[in-house]
Amino acid sequence: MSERPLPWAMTLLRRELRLSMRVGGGAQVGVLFFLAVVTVIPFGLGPDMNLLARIGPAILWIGALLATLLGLDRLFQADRDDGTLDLMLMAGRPLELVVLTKCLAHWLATGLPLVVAAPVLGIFLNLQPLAMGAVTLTLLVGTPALTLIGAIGAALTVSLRRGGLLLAVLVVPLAIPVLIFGVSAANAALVVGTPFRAPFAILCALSLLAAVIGPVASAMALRFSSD
Amino acid sequence: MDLGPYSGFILASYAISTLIVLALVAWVVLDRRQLERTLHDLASKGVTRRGPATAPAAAKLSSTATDTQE
Amino acid sequence: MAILDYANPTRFLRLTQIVLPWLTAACLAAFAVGLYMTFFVSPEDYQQGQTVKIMYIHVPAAWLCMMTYSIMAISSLGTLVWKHPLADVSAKAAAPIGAAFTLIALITGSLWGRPMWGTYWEWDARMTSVLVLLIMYLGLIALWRTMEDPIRAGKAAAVLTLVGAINLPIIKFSVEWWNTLHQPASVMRMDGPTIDTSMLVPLFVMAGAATLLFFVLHLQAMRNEILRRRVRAMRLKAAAGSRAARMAPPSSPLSSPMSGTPGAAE
Repeated sequence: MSERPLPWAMTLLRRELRLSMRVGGGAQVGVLFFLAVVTVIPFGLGPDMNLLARIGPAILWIGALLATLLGLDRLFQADRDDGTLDLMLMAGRPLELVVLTKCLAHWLATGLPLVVAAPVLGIFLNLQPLAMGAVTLTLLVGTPALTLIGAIGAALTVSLRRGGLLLAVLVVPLAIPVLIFGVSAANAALVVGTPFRAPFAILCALSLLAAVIGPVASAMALRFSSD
Repeated sequence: MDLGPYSGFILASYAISTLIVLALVAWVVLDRRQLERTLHDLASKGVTRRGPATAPAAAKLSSTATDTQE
Repeated sequence: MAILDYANPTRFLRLTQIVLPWLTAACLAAFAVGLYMTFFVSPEDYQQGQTVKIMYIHVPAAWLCMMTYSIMAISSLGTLVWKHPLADVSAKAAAPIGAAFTLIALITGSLWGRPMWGTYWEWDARMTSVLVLLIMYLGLIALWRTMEDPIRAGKAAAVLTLVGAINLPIIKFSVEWWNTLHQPASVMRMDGPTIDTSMLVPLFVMAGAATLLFFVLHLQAMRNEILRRRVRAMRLKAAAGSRAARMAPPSSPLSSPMSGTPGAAE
């Protein structure tokens, strides 16, 4: 046990980040999609600023959920296509940690930009500063859970040629609790008398739970898909 | 028997449930009939689970076996 | 290994061949008794009138859609932990039946809700959770349908089923929490003890009949799935055999029964 786990994980993290940032990595498309979804919703609802302010947190959350789902199908697929996944499986490192590292990199490349973009998009939705802060904070805590839960779907559909849609269908039911508590906590800034701390604490708990279940289940699915 | 003012809803729920159950039964029965016919056809062509006609290899098709073929 | 894999499904086929007719007869008898009691014996509810008759299919269907998922979760454990050869067959056969019962629970619930609540759909905690359950069933069926190799599909579906089983209580809890946040306890409740015995007995009979129906369908669907895998295995054998025959003339077969590859003799 002379080897510390950090060096290879850091190397993997750097590799993943570099891959997702380069041309063709597709990390920026998620934010663009987020922008497109948020732009399109007022066209459906009408430009009622009061209504938009009331449902703004929900719009941002659903936009973030969709944008996360959109980017997930590449999480393992590129590595499977070029054989890297097999090398990772054979390398003898704990696959759960590999998955966790990949999720972290994926979140840094696609989830974090969504969180950063949320306040800007909040301006379009007539959000007050307090609500904007609440949405951004809940997204910061909640989007890792979306990525980690989505990793399960990505691992299950890795061997499929066009698994993107199926992935979304499989993951959406599992993401409902995150959405419920994320939006509830964000809404606390809008509606007087609604609790913030309880849903926010549950949201944090869900993220931590997802950090356990996601890597374990994804690693299991990846092992099965390769043998 | 009087089902009251909402007899439509009661009858509709029983009718729809019956339809869904009948669809399930039909799926199971038709599926079985078709599978048995296919099995029969394959058997009459001399194919067995242990290989076609002459090959006596008794190896069963596990996932690893199919993988090596592909 | 090969003997274990083969003997079990074959024994299962033989056993179910004997059991199924009796089970089917019991199921039909239970339904006859249950429906007779429902329509001719059970009284009207003093609040809901005759619409309470919908309960006798709604509640058993709702019970079955949960039981089916539990059976699938246990089967998934069987696939992943104990590697039982029939476990993924059981899980795969149960999914469409579970989806059908979930659909029945949703439709009858909505038809019951219209006279009682005034709307076909209420975003109340139970109906919402059942809707989520339906999506999960359909997702599982879709996952099975997209993967060609039944063993690999079975393992993937088992992972998803277990993740879903962990998540279902969380989903239920969060939907209930969300529901109380938005509409404080307006929907009617149907707690167990408040139901009169005159309604409880038909309800139990119908629930028993529906459970028997599930097992009849499930066993038969499992038999079908075993047959489907045999057909698949035979087709693959036939294809491999014809390919081998084209590649090289058959020599004297020397392959041992334990050899993993079918082409080992050539």
